[in-house]
Order: sequence, then structure tokens, then C-alpha cells
Amino acid sequence: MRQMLLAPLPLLATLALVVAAIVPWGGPDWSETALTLMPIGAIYFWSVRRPHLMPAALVFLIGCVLDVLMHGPLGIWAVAGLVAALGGRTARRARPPFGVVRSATHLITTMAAATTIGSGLQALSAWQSMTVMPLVFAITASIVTYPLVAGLLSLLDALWPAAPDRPLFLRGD
Amino acid sequence: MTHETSELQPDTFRRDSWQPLLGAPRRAADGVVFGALIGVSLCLVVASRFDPPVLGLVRQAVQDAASPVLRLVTGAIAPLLNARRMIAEWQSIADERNRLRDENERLLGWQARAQALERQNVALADVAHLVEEPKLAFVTARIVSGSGGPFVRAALLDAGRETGLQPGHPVMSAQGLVGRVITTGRTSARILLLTDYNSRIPVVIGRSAARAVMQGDNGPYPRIAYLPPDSQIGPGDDVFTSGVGGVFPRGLRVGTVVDVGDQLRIEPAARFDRLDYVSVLFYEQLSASLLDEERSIEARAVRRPGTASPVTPSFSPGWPTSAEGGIAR
Repeated sequence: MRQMLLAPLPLLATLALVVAAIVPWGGPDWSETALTLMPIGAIYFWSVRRPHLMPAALVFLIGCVLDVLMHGPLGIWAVAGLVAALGGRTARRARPPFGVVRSATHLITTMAAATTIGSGLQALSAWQSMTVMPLVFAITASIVTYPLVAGLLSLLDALWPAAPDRPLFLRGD
Repeated sequence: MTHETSELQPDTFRRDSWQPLLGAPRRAADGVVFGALIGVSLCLVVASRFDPPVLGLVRQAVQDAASPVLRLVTGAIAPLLNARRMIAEWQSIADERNRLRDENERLLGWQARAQALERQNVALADVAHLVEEPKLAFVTARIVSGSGGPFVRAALLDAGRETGLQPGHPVMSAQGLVGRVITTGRTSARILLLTDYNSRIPVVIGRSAARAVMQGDNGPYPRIAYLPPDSQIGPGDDVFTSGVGGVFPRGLRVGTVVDVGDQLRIEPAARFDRLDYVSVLFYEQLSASLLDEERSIEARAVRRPGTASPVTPSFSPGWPTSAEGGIAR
């Protein structure tokens, strides 16, 4: 019963971040970029912790909602989300030891891949060359904001029964 | 493993014992699903490029549905944002007062000069039989969702077709041009910010009135493209819309030329981090209005007996001449 009640939580939490991402907070330009990348961080988080609650189809739908609400060409956020989910699953399958360095490497690679592919597709769709600085900035923003996203979502994740002797990195499923 | 620990684990490690057997096929199935969905997403990106009406309808429906929710959230956070703004203003109030005092003195000097120039302008316009530029009607609306995201620069307005908004209408903030309306729902409209990859705006730069195209690249400083090689522009030059192409009216303030690295770029005058209320100008795009005019002339010619062929007005793009011979736009 508890598991059933908790099942929609990853989706709802990610959608809440989607809304937070598109509301005009009135912060500086970098903060908006960082906010819009938070749902990608959430997808990565749930794909590592509870992949069965963040299936590919759901990631695709969340991506499409982001595409529509941000008025990009449909599919760009969906691809970025799917790449983040794939990265999360790959990180999950990695064998021990789950050190900080290894986790950070997975995170950085995934976020960089998701952001670069998204930006590349957008540039291609607008038939323009990709500009490096905004991309570097977006990648940095996605990595720097991840601990905040993970911290918030960990509070929700703690509602599930824990498996204490598993590494913190994979605790949950 | 202690007894206590195994009791705390629900089914995690039991699953691990048979996972190696099922792991490979499950991973393969996962891979197929992911591959297929990435393929579908890429197809959607390509399809979006051609902008099929079905996708437009879906977008508008989702926008209209999301608009009340976003309005609610924006309303709820408004006091928080106002408080933050007020605190920031209090902190800088002394500096701001001094700055305004200096600026006021400078502007008083400009006021006298502007009044003299205005009188001169009226006199010259009278001599040249200059046709007055039409006054643009506008409506002010609130931005309920912004996107300073890495892929797209767009925002959602809480006014749509019901208020008279149409795709192509320019959007201004108090400081300058923000972008243009690209799609309209019943109660919401989406604006493409001038920093977006897809934004290209014909502009005129500096005192030499060099013509160029401002091209967004998702960064804070749009590029200057198609600038004639002999143009004399430099940092600090003001940038306005040129009106070429008829998408935007002439003379809307866009920003200033800045030196970014070793490249000249444009710093938009509009503060995208503080967009709240914006004005949408009911500017009919030139191409559309000329097309309508042409159609009506053709229709009149067909209706009128004895007319041999429909009359097609001659014009140069962006700078049509009026019947009196003055410059109309």
C-alpha cells in the first residue's frame, strides 16, 4: 500500500521542478538556465535511485511537456531527458566501489552529454553553428545544481524503506 | 550480514541473486525502448521544423491548459519577488538617488535640445509633405513563464487571441525590444526572445546607420550578422530596428553594441532577468498588409467593369512610397 502511494512521487516531484523551471523568478540569466536544467537532474536522480519508477516512456513524456512549455522544437528536451535517464541507469549498473570520484564522473559525463546533445539539436534545428560559451555555462550549471536537486529529492527518497548496507549511491531500490 | 540488516532489506538483495540471469535480456529490452524513444524524439525535432498544424494545435492546447496554473504560481510568488526587489532597492537607494540627480541635470539639457529639434522636425515634415507614421496600439500583458533555458529562449504571456494578439506582433519592455509573438492560444501567447537561436532582426546601428541583422545564439549577447564590410560601428553605439523586411516597425530600441572578447555583439536593452509586464504592439507585418492591399486592389479591379487588368502597386521592400511622394514608413 505504501509503495503504491509512493510510486507517483518521482513523477510529481519532477513535474514540480518543471513548473519551478518555467516560472519567471526574476533572477539573473544564469539562474534561469540552472533552473531549467533541474528537471534533467531529477530524471538522472530517479534513474539512479528508482529506475522502475522513472521508465523511458515517462521520461519521454516529461521531456515533451518541457518542450511544449518552453516552446522549443518538440523532442529536444525529450532526447536530453532520455540521455540523462540512460546515464543514470548506466551509473546504477556500475560495479562497486561507488566512490565519490566515480559517481561524480558519471554525473558530469551524463549532464554534459544531455546538455550538449540538446544544444546541438537546437542549433541544428535553427541551422546555426553551436556557440561554445553558453554550452559550457549550461553544462556547468547542470552539474553545480545537481547536489541541490539531489538533496531535495533525497528527502522524498527517504520515505521508501531503506536498504542500509547498500552504498548510499544506490540505496533505495 | 547480520540478522538485523537482512530484516531491514525488503527485497533488494534477494532480487540481486537472480538478476545476473535476467540482467542481459532486460538491459537489451531497455536499450531497444530507449533507442526507439530517442528515434521518435529526433523525428519530432525534424517534424517541428516543418511546423505541422497538428503540433501547433497540441502546443496551444497545452499552453492554454498550463496558463492558469502558471498564473496561479506566478501570483503566489509575486509577493516574494517584490520583497526581494524592495530589499535590493533599499540597499542601493543612496547610490540610485545620486545617479538620478546627475541624470536629471543631464536630461534637462537634452530636453531643451529635443524641444528645438522637435520644432525643426515639424517644420521640415510640413515642407516635405511627410506622411505621419501611424500610431501603434498596444496591450500590456504579464509574463507567466519564462525560459532562459539552454536550448530555447521564449516566454509565455497571459494574453492571447481574445485580446487581439497575433503571431508576429513585436513585444517591448520599458527598456527596449524583447522579441515577438510566435504562437497564440485563446488566452495565452508565446514570445520568442531576441536572444533565441531562431531570432533574426534587421537592425540599424550607430550614427552611421549601418544596416545589419541581429542574430540570437541563446547567449546573452546576440551576434551582428550581414554587416557591410565598410561599416563604422563600435562599442556604445545604439541599435534600433531598421524596419527592413516589414516584420518590425522602424526605430524600436534594441540595445547597444558591446565588445565581447574580440567580437562586437549587441547587449539587449531589455532586462530579461526582470521581465514582468510587457507591451505587445499591434503592428501589422508589412508583407501581410501589402498582400491584403494587393488582394483588395485586385478585387476592386475585377468588380469594376471596363478595367483591363488588376493594378499592382509598385514598392521597394520595407520602404514603400506614399501617394504624396513622401516616405510612409
